[in-house]
Amino acid sequence: MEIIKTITVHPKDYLTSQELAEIDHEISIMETREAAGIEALKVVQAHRGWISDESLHVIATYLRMSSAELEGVATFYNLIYRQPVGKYVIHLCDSVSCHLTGYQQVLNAIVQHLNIGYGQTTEDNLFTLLSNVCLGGCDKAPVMMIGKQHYEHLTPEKAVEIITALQNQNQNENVEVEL
Amino acid sequence: MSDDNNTPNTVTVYIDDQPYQVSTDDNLLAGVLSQKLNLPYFCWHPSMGSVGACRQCAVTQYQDENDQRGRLVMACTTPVTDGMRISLKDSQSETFREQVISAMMTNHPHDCPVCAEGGECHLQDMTVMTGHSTREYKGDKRTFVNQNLGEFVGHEMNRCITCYRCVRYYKDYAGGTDFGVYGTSNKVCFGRQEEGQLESEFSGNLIEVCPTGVFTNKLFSAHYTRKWDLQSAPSICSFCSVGCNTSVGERYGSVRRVMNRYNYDINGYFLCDKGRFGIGFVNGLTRIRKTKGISPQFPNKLSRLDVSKALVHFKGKHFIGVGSARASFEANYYLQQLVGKKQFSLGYSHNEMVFAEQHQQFLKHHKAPSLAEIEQSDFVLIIDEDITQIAPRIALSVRQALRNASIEQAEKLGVPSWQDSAVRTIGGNTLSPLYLLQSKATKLDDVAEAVILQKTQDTIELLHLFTTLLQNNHELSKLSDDNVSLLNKLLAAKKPLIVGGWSHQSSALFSATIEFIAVLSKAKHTLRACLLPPEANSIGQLALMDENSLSIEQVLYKVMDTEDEIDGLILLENDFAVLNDAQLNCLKETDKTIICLDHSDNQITALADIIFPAAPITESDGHLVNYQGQIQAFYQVHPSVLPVQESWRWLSLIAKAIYPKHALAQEVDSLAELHQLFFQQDANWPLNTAANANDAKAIKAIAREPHRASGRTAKMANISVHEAKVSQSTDNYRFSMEGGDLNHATEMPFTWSPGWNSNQSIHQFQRKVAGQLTHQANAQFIDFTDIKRVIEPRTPLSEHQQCFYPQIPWHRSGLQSSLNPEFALLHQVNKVFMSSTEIAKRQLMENHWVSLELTAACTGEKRQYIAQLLLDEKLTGDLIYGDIDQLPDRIYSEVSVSIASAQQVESYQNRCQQLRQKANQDKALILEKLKVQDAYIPIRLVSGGLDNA
Repeated sequence: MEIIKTITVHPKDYLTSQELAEIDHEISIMETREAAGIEALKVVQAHRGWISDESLHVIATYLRMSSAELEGVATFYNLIYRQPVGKYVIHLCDSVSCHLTGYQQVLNAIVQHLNIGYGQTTEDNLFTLLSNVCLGGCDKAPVMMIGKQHYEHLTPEKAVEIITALQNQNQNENVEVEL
Repeated sequence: MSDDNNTPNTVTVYIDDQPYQVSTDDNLLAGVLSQKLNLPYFCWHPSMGSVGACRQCAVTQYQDENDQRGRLVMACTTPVTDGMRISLKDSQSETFREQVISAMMTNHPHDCPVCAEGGECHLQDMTVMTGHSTREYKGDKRTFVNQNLGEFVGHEMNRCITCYRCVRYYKDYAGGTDFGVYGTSNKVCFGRQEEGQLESEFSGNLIEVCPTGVFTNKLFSAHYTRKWDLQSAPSICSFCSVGCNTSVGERYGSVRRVMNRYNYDINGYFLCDKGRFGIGFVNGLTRIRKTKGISPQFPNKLSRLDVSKALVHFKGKHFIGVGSARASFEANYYLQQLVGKKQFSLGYSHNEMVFAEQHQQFLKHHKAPSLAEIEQSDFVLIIDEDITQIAPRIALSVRQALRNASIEQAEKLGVPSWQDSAVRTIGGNTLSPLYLLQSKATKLDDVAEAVILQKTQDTIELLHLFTTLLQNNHELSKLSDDNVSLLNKLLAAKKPLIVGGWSHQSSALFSATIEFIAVLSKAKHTLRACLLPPEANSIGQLALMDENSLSIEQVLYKVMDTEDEIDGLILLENDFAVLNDAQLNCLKETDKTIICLDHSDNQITALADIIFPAAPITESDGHLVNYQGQIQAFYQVHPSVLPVQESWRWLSLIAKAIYPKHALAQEVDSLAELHQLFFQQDANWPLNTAANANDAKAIKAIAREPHRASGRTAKMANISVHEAKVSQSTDNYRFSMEGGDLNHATEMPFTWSPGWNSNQSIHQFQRKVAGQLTHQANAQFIDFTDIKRVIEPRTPLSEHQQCFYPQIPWHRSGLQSSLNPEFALLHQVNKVFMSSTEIAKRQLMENHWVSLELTAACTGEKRQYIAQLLLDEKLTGDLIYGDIDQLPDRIYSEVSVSIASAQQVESYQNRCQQLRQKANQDKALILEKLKVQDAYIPIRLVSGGLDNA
């Protein structure tokens, strides 16, 4: 007697009850079930940090849509991460206004400070650096976004300062936890 | 698609100050192309409409004749209006179009020399058309990781120009779910979510839909020739009854590929994967290339004398002829005439004869709709047929019909049907109603309004109930909600369509369907009905059926009966797949002579005393009759290598040896002569080519090769440095690059037009874009005669007993399918589906391996299979269906299911593994043989007749 291994995981065995409740809420306010795709991805990402292949398949099954279609949605939006990311994701704007006002220097400073390039994550899993086309702050360029916070009028020093502050804050948090 | 070709809705449009009459039914781009003017485009497709994504078809539109500046508009999203003035030649739009290509080319790899699309690439054509001739971009190009998309379709994403046609075709048009578009901005990728076999039955059309070489034909690439070097002929797909028109390409004596051949009424722009990728059977390892039972006087040189010597002692003997729905219409008729109607069998069992006869009488009174007509339907009912598997191209048309509801919605809002994305946005999930009465899950379930899953017996009863209700206007209380809405919507529809067929081998279902249609069509004159037989020439067989026709059972009885004066059997391309083991044993034991004409080894050729190697469809001239009764011609793609020749040529030799006094025992040199001969003997013979022959003479025979074919003098150089004489053809096409204008051909071997090297060139040959071909021949249909006898269903073998419904996927039906190793690789694993109650009742567990024992109703044979047990939530009661490899097509009256042991599962998995290995080996072996053959060209330089003729 052998259980077939190829069968995909049942969504209810994979998603937590809280995730399910949040996704169900989104489904209830949408016209069609698959319309909750973006929100469901956001829900799972909020809980797990990123969307793994397995998460993608399970969400697609749960929303009764094809994983190809959901993958299209997931890869279209740059705030859905299809690879593991650090605790803080730095979205550095590289659009026209930022280019004109010193984006390159800001980028160099961050790269030097964290020792990572675009698409990479620091060894302590704290920071991931991504490029972003326009954050809507052209009048305050250069701009970057970390988490839900926009940082404007950046200079190389200011950017490093912000990142260092986050590093320190995180260290303190860890200390607190350890205490 | 508009069904009216001579539309009165034309207005005057000034294109570069010249007035043109342009139809308002389609967009401006289609209008311009219909005038045979050149305007480049990518994302627009005649059967998929406009989305305005690529910006390639920009033209300048002017306010009036005084407007000097004008403004750029995208022709594909611009409606045609009376008196509108546009320019294609002004520098503004010309520069714009050139710059669009220029931008696309920044990422295109320019790898045409190693690209399979090169020489028939729409992107190449459009680049040349816009005049973009220098490479300016010096930077990096974006690159992708390609996917393995399975056996048939190659993937090279770097070539992509992001026109979105592929995903619009695969998802929107063909309803595939395993294909999508990923990413954003300059990095957009098209493909599957993860590597694997494309699941759609229509995936091959990606190759033709893609304007460049992202999606290519893997089987063609493996044994490749440029389009300009292919020798092609117009052909008909021999895999199912739809009769899609194909263009088959060949080089060095082996068939390379199948492309769609446009036919407005039937396949339009698309084929199914079986038709496109199944042609490999003609290059199969089991092709019969030598005679058996005939000893030639000189080895390797068979003469007519050898044949007559071998057959002479059968002179005057009594043979039964058995035709087949795989052989040409001519060959079947010829055999029937030779052996006599009373000694002729169509190759049908008694059971099949019952509904074959009903079908024949049905076609006498009901004209089956064409695929173009099917696409006009606003309601579809399918009665227990898995059409996606048995006649896939019809399923694709049904999918289009379901869009009519949203097209109508859009029209109410003033949005024309060609505005594809707008119509889809307005329509949302709105579909015209599709009702499925069926005994197993099918691929159309996801677009059906209701899937009524029930046993065939219940469907028969339901149809009877419907019929009674229609006749007596009874209240609908006996019916379930689904059935009530089915009837109501059917009666409310303007153009309803009913599809049924032979798959269940059930005469009761067939007659219930016919009765229902007959009663309904009285109430509903616009009703269209389409009954699907299994094979390419099944309806041609019906035309030969009369009260004398023998069933297989009668044939076997006569063969076994020692008193009967039958001396033997002549089997015409019939592998007798319908026989059960006991019946096959009868044939094994008989001492009567078995003469076989076939193209590949099978269970009957193994028993044959004499075998004549018959030419498969690609090496033959002949006709097939499709599900509508339409007679369609196919032509030799390349001459066959003797002794392989068309069945009708063999029959003429057989006639002269065995039936020397028969009026048809004459030498025939061409199909036209054969038709002439038939017509002289039988005024009812439908293909009188005498009249056509005069026309044909007026038109110069069409070349099978493009005028750019290379190596005419070099390709034989390893044999002789002298330029070889071309093989002579006996039809209206030449084995040459010289011949009449493609423009005059009613059936074009390939399509090409100056500036248009890709298949998009077809609009140069259409009266208007997506309309009838300019030189479309009038479709000819069979006239069915009355049959005196009505065959009674004899055996009590009934639907009552049936308890297992096999799913038979498209790649696993018939001899010709089984000869493609790629098809064998498509089978994943045996699956059996049950309802939750049935699983509980049988004390089984879903998602476990089970051992399945099936008992055939007719013989009691038991067979055992290992399968995965899956739950189908839509199923109720004890209905069981499943997809089981190598399951003979029978009615199974008993199913016993038990949990499989680990050992059984392991041995099953090993067996599957072995089958896959074997298929992969065969694939490699076939390719190796073909490549060896390329080095030595085995085509006889002069064809026709046997060697000493």
